[in-house]
Amino acid sequence: MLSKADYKSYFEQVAVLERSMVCETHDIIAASDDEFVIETAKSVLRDELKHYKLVQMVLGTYIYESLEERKSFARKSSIGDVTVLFPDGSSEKGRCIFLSDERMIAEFDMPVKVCPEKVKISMIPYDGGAGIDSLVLNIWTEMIGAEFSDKPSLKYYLAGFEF
Amino acid sequence: MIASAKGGDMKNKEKVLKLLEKCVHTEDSVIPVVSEHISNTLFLSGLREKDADVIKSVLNTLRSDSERHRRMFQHAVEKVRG
Repeated sequence: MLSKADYKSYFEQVAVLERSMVCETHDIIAASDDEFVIETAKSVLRDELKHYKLVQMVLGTYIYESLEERKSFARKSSIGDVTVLFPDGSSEKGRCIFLSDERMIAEFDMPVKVCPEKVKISMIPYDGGAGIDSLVLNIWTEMIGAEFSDKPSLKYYLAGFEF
Repeated sequence: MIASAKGGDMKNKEKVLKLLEKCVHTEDSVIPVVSEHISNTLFLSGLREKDADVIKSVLNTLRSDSERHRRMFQHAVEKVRG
């Protein structure tokens, strides 16, 4: 019989895969000008967003046991494109995997550099609250602090930002 | 000829093909992971039967949709390749 930790590990792995599908499908919509390809990707993206939410529901309802885990699950989570703009004009692009009033966690292909100064973050949600045709919602916020981690997830480097 | 905003040329076609092939590959990764435990009676045996049924139903949805998405992406790859 599997333990709760085994279930947690398994469903978190499934969540990462489903999140990857959301991001990869979104990349196709952004890159292509072929109507058939775009419509195919849009159809899949709608399903993948549902899949990701289904896996989150399983984790939050049946797997997570501790109050902290459940509280974390109850916070708003969102997937979208993130751009970090540094004071020197350089930028890093990643993907938001968690967003609350206080902080954001994002995945990057490379470790994000630590910056003691204020930086700006742009986040464009994939579902935007209005479906995938409304990808113009652009949230800019001043950072007053930042916590970075170079620990890789299954495929990416994570960075956390405190607003 | 003026290229489209997304660069409607051979270079962009190759980029879109690579992205589509990546999606086929990722769906190929998802299918065995979500299928792994569906027919395993011991998996989820530590949970209440009602809860296990819901989770199994979710995994079945993920598997069937992933198989369908894989076919859709493969079809798109073939269409773009012409």
